[in-house]
Amino acid sequence: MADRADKPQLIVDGKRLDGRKAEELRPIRIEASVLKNADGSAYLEWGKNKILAAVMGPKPVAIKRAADPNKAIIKCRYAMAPFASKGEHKRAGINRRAQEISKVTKEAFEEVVLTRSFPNSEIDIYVEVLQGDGGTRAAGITAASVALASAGIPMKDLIYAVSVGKAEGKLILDLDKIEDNYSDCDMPMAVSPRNNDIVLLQMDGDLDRAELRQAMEMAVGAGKAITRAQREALERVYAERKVEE
Amino acid sequence: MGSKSIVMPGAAVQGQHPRPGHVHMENGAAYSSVLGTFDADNGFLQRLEGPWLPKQGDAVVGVVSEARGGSYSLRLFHHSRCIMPKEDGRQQLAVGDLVEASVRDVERDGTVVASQPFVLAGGFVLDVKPSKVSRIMGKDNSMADQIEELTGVRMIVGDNGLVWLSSFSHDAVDAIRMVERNAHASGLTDGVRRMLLGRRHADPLQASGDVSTGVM
Repeated sequence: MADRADKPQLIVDGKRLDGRKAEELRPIRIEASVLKNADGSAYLEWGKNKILAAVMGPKPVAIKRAADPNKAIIKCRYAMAPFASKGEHKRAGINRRAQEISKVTKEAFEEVVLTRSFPNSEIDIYVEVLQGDGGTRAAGITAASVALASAGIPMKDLIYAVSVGKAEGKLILDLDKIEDNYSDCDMPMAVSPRNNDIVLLQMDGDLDRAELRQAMEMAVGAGKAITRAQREALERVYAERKVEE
Repeated sequence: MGSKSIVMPGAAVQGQHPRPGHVHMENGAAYSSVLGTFDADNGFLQRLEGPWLPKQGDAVVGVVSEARGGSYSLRLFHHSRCIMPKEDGRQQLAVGDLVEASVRDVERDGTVVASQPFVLAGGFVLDVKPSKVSRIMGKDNSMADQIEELTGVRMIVGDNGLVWLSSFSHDAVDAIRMVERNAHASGLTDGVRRMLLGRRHADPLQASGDVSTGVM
């Protein structure tokens, strides 16, 4: 968190610093199956975030004793490229923050991936943040979800994630870097859209009970547009139904 | 054909008999678990991507990786290990032999048990996406037969995603890659035929394909 004393005003004349309304998402663009050698992949641009997600597997378990004879194990590595941020996260690559995000991302996908189809194997999820501007864990999960689908990994649902926060006493959707740093609350949330099951919920700061409810509703409301972007990215890959020679 | 649509994991699929394994049941309702195409008329869900899901009777192409007293290990380029018990000491395989075999059983822990090995001598191996194998074979083997007929190359397609060709042929490789790329499209058998017949009159140096030596 940045120093509170020089906290900027995050909402000016009813608009956020980048001109968005409180419940407005940044533009999202996703492209599926962008990497040839990965089993599944996706490239996502969400506002100024640029993220590459890749999936390898199912493959033999690298560390034999970690293998589960009943199901596949999921591994996740979230990492920020050294050039992804302006140094706020200190050392790039796998630092404590990256480890934490890798863990929660993995746990979100453990809720939806049908791991019992692949005993004694592992599925690796890689989230590489090329450019970060707040909300990269949510964007990473959204991209990884598309990558898993493009790898043909069976899942209960195509999950998405988004964050909701609070600034100047008002709830705001999809926080960018500066809002993330100076807001009173930041709550990333990952959702399975079919039944609105929450598969990840973290909170930095605080909200009261009514605000929490409203924040969740905002996230779920925004989910429709995020899910659409994911779906369209996957559909586009197979849109050409004519035979090209 | 018109009722066929692309479905995402989690999409509700109503139909009498969606193929088990590609659906997830919850409260009596069926949801697709994969990215696939769903035909609402016959309730058939075909996945577009995904790893090989071994089942009894599958044909596999693999490399003998270990020879023990009573069995061999086969490398199938898949996450599951594959063992092949020696049958009455008839065939003698050596480590490194490329074989075609059939899946006799899949154990609970995923181990594939293969049998009836047949050594593939010489030739060339291509790796393809396992999810596209059914299209490379075609209905009643029609696609594979057509490629063999028009290129003169003998072809053995393993469900694990390895295809053996009796000799290297740009035409055969390009035809297989074309099927792989367009597996979701209709009119593919005719498209491949047109491509291969067109090649017969074209400059052979123009025929270049995405050649990948999967193994060896």
